[in-house]
Amino acid sequence: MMMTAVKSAERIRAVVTIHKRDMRLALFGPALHVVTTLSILIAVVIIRNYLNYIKANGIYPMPDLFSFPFRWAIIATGVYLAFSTVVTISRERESGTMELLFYGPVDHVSYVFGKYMAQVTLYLMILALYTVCFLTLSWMARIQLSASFFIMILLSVFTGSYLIAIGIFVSSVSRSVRNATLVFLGIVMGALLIQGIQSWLSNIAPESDYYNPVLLLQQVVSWIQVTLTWLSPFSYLNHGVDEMLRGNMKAFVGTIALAISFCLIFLASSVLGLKFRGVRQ
Amino acid sequence: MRKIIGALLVLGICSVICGAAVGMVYAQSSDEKREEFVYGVNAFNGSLYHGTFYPPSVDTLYLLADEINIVSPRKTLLYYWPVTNEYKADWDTLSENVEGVLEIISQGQMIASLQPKDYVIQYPKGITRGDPQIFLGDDAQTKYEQWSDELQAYRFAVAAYYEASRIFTVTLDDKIEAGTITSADDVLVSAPDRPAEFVYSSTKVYRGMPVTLSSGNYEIRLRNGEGEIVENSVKKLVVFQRDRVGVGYTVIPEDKWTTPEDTQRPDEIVYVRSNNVLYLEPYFESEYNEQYFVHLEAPQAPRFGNAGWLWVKEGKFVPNDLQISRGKMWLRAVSFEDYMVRQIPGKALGYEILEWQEGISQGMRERSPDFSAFRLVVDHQIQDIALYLVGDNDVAVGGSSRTLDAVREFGSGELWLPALLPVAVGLAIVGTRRYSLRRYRAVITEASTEQ
Repeated sequence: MMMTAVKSAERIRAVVTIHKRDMRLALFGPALHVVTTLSILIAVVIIRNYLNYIKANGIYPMPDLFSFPFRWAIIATGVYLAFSTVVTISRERESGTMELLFYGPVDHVSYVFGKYMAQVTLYLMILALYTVCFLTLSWMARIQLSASFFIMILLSVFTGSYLIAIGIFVSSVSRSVRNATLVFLGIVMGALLIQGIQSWLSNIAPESDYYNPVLLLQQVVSWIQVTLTWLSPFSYLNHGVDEMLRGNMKAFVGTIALAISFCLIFLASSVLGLKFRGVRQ
Repeated sequence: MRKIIGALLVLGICSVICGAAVGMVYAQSSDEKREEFVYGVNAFNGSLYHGTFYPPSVDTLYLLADEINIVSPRKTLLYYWPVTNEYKADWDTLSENVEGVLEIISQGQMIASLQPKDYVIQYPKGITRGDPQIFLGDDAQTKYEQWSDELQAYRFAVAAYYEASRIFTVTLDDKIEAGTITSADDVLVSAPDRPAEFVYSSTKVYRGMPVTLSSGNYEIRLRNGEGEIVENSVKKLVVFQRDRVGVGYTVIPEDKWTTPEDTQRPDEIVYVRSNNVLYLEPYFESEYNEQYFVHLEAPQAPRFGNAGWLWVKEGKFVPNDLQISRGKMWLRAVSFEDYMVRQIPGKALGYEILEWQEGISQGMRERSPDFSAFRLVVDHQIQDIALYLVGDNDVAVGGSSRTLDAVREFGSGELWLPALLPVAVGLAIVGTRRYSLRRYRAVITEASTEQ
């Protein structure tokens, strides 16, 4: 009993130490601030287009003017944070830092959770910063932020955490920085592009019959998209926002529950992956 | 890892090549018309009956729940039309009813065995007004004959009108020649009245199986006289219903009345430019599963991987006054009025929207109004204004509320200011860190120098 308590206390201390160290590394470097600035710039460009449309056409009915730009900003930030986790963990393994840490009080669980908590804390801090930016924008344009906007921020906490967990999983099972980077970027780009590919394929008019390759591809892409809907944090974010705007709060809560479940599954898999893959290069 | 990626790549390439090869083989016969079994379907879409057909390449039928839909097993000639990427039916050359019994199966149990019946679909107020009626069996023939008689009577009335007009013109000419016209009344009173437009519409009497089912997943098949299942007749059947109902609005800005916008989501926010006049035309709407509804109307449309929800516009209606409030405070009510649109005379292009009475009083030709709507004047003070309709019992109509928000106009440079916030935060954090590091290093250097 005593041994377990001591071990838990050591583990928590290790988590806090890794958490602080990673936070400092991210906050004191320029990359994170460049990404947040670029993300807000993307959001401002989208809002500017909306406002120009309203100015030119007189009206623009939509559920919430800030929802889509905010989603873009947090998706860009979430991808960056997950990517930085991928690179950090893989680099620590390649350079031997990870092995060195494991000679000390750090174990697989504390390492994974320390990394995860650091990125999630950064994500929450950035969310707070974006909220301030959007509040300023709403005050300037004299547009009220709806309740749905704040509920969307709540949902994004869970989907963003899930995205970070995916990043940790990819890096925990990858052999090198290059592999981890390629796999992670492949997953993210694939998830974002699959929707575009499907609409592109559905617009092709092939000169053929029932068993056309394009029709086959359409079917395959559609199956992939259904699978992604169940796995992708981006899909959870969009689906959750859609259901919340429809007033279907049961589905909204279900989306959060699924995001949490998958996040825990990926974190547990990361611990197992790290054990299986080992801490040496 | 590499082996897995390699295997996946090989599998992908093979499937595309195989698919292409099969496609090329079939493509050789793509110009030919082939005799095929199809299901012709007259599906109710919430406002009217939509005629379509399901070729062998489509494996699922979609129908609305608790409505009479007609499924007609037919033989026809099919050909591939690459422009729209779908099969077309040559009904003119071949349209043959396939006799048999339509069996409907739910969870492995046959729940209905439907015989073909005569049917006719009619729109007493005209197709554009919706509100269709379907008649089955003997009623179909009776109603079709009734429609034919009324059409015949209308034709006679039109013929009589033209004859009366001809006589009126000849008589008028004679009177003018004889100089017996003393006032305008002599001309107008005796002019014949044109018969009212004939809008009553009907299909011919066709044969098909009326299908009325509650929502769920089924399977259908056609069993012929010999007790065999007809080839290509086994298909899945998805019967669905609307998820929500609501009230949508067509929002017409006064200065852009030819480019209106629709607001279909209940509780949506309508962002508007201040100093603007808007006209809101309400209509009933229903929300359906997008995948199901799109395939009900277009069975050969590509499947969506990730289908959402779709609001479908239904009939217009005459509502009570539009209520306007801010928070819980009621502000005012706006009445529903008729409007006419007049092109501004002169070289300048543009339109002017007038109240119907005002238009008539300004010399516009008396005709039915161009549209009926609520008129709203948007000034810069409109912020977070709620709009909603109430029923006869003074209770708000569900799904009719919207929020109106006037957007402030400002210079384009102003908007970029919030983007400076992350820059400022970044500079502050990195700057503070560098400063403290420099100080820390200075302290260490100082300490080592002292030693």
